Amino acid sequence: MTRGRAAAVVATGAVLLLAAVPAAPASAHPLGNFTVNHADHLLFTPDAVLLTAVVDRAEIPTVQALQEVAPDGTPDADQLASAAADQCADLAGDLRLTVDGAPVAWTIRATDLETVPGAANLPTLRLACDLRAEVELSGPATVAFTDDHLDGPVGWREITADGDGVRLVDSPVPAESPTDQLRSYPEDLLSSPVDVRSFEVATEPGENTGSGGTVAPRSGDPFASAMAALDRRLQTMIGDGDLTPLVGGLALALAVLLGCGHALLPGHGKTVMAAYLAGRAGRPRDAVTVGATVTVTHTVGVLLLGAALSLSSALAGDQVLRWLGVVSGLLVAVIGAFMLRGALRSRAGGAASTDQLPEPALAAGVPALAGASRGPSVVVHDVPVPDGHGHGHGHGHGHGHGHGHGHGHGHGHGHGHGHEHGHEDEDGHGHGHGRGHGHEHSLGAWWSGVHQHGPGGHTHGPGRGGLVGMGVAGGLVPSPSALIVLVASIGLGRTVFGVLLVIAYGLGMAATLTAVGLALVGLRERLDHRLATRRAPALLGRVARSAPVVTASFVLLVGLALMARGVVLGA
Amino acid sequence: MTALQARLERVPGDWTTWNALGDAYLRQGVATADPGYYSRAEGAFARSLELRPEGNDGALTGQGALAGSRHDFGTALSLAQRALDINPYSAAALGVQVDALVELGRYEEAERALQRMLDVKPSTASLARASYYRELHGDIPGARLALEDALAFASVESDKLFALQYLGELAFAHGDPDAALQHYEAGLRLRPGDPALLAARAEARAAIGQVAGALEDYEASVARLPDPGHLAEYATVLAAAGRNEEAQQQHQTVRVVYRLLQEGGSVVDLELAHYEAGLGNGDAAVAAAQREYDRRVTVHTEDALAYALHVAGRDEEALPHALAAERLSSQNGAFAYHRGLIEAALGIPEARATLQRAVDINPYSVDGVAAAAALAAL
Repeated sequence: MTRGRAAAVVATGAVLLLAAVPAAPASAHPLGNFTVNHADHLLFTPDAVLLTAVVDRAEIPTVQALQEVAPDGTPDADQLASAAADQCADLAGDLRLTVDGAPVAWTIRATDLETVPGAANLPTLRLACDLRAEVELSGPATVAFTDDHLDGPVGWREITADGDGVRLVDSPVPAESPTDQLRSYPEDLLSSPVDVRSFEVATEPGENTGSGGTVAPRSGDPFASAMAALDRRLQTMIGDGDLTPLVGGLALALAVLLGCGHALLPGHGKTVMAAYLAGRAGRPRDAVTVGATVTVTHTVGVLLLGAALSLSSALAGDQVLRWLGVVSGLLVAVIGAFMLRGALRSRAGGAASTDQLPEPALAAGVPALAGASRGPSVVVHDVPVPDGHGHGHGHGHGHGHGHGHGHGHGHGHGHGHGHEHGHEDEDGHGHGHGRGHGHEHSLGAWWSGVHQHGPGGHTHGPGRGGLVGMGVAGGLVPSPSALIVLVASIGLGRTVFGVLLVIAYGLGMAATLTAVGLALVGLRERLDHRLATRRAPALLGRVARSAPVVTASFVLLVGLALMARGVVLGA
Repeated sequence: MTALQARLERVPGDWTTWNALGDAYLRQGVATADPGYYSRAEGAFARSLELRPEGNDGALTGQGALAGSRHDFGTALSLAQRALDINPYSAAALGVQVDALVELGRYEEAERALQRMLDVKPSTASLARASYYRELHGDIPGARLALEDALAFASVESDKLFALQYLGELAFAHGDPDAALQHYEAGLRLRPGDPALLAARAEARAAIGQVAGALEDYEASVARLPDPGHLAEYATVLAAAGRNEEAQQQHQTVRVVYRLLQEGGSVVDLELAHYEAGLGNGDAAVAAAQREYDRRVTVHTEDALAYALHVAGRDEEALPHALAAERLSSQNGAFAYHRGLIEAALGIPEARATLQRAVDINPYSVDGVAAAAALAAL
């Protein structure tokens, strides 16, 4: 018969024809009718290695083997016995055992060959050989074993090893046969057919207790890799088959933790926020505001983007993130621009805040001049203010005017400035940019911005608008790990759980950012206080005067850089 | 594969990964010829369908491929069509559909599906089918070009082996055993001991007179994978070399293999028909050929029935089938040879030209040699 290409292609590879899955269930060899399967079980004792080797031939190799064993039909006991001896001798020749590199010879103790009924009333052959090798294992040693017998035909090949009086250190093979010495083959869909032809193990005297060994992966930067590991853990937990309340609770806790951790990693405008808070005399309340805004923006952003990604396969997630990064950078740049404008204006001379200035605010310029004196005013100044910061806030972010009253809202870019009015102290608000209004604040001025004064409290400090703006900028770019958590949950049908996790994540972020903000605020206040109570050199005064401009420029540059990065690199 | 298995241990409900695992097992099964992988593949696709019965084109395609491998082309076609209803752009489902349509004799539909497959995803798989399609229609240079492209496209070893094997067989089938040997050697360098390549090389070697080498290759090939076709060829060459006892043993094994395949649910009537006809068992050949013909009408089943009827001495009935087998002008040496034999038996003068055509297509094959002998006898 010519084997035209037709026939071969027809079978989609002749191989498939032969290896086709049987439509009928039972078969002696679920692995296939043409396989030759091997099982070697080694038992290590202090003075010998005992090997039980089994070779199980399926129906077709049996037909081929029987043609030699019994050319005239069914084999009888004598033919089987002599064939067993021959086959075990062949087998022993193909086995290699070395102890510490030195080869050891096998002696054959027992042989057996039997026919076992298989599919289609055809016989299969089962060969069992008991072999023994004399060794010296009363001390530590390394043993290596290889089985090359009949390595052409396909089939299951397993090796198992155990010890009696000898301990196997981290054995790479199991101690017990998973197939009961080839009597029943497991049909585990999640494991590949076993093909182990050799192994090596260290031995020492003792009792053997099982095998195993795993490898733990290593990685670079410890914090980042710890975060990555926690990320994976959370993703695993989402897909967990059993979502018990305990697991769910743990997952939520983990999400909060992850939020905290990710907020510590670079990103989310922490630097800019720090500059803002520090420069604008933020108060603890402001730090909380920023933190809350970041959280809300981030959570909403993740939810929206996650929903969009789940619903639309056309949406390119990375492009969306890229453009969000650009928008975020734009927002920061705008804030920086206003800060700069304010800083330059107030530097150029008081007229800065002419808009909506309340009366006291108009005095900005005056106090500035008048504030030349340090010392007393400072002290005075300090008194009403529990936290003692001078005011000035100079860095306004530009909205120049700082005061207005009302802090805060007001201008678009929020940054309120409202510094209230009410302070008795001269500077009132100068803020603008603090160039210190004279009063002392020199250094304090550029840190601070809060005028607490007044019971009415306008705090003026960074206007709430400014804070919200910074918060929005910080939270605008969703964290990919939160996004993955949400999209994965939606994909696995656990949307509500995913949303809860994202919210928990946001809370974690808020906690960190607020803590960072509070720490900065506290730091600045302490610094302010110290500076306010001493005389500071003139140099510092100059530095303080230029600081708002520097800070504002810094914020502006960061914003521009973020925009540029998004536009250029994301392409 | 271990990554897929690990993922499924953590998330057993992930039906897409079950499909990916099934595909990986199928590929591994084809590469290693280890049937354990096929049963696992079937299990994986079944599990995937349990988890997601609707909209699961991946599992349907996988099951279609497995049905095709059992020669159940009707089932393969319906599974492929269901998969295509869900996802009309699935190259894998289109491949199963093309194969099934060709094997069911629906050549025009196959051409349309093949064109769609080539448009969706030019790859080794689609180009190989394009090559086969062209060969069926007699465009041998075109078939060769397509296979060469398939080889160029091939990035995985098994694809390269596939392309090399069929390039070799194409060359051999059209009278160029030396080129065939070169392709087989290239393939065996990539994967020494590959049973399909060894058997192909054995055929080419036997054809050019390297009998000892051919017997060695056949022996190695059937030890690894006892394909009944290869076993039969081996038996023929053994008999020609005078080793009749061994030849008989191979024939015995062939019968066992066919029996097991049938027990296992595969349809092997076409192959059986060829085998029985080759041995001269006309009645058994006709019975098998007729069963297959009733299932599907293709140029191959026409040819098988024609030859079986000829061997059974029923040449008048055979002739229309032999003519039908050549309706695509496939340039198939076996088809021409069988037709020539039938015409000669019926005393039709056309026989001479037909037999000459068979010799011209491939003077080296068993059929070609026999055709030359028949020609001389006329």
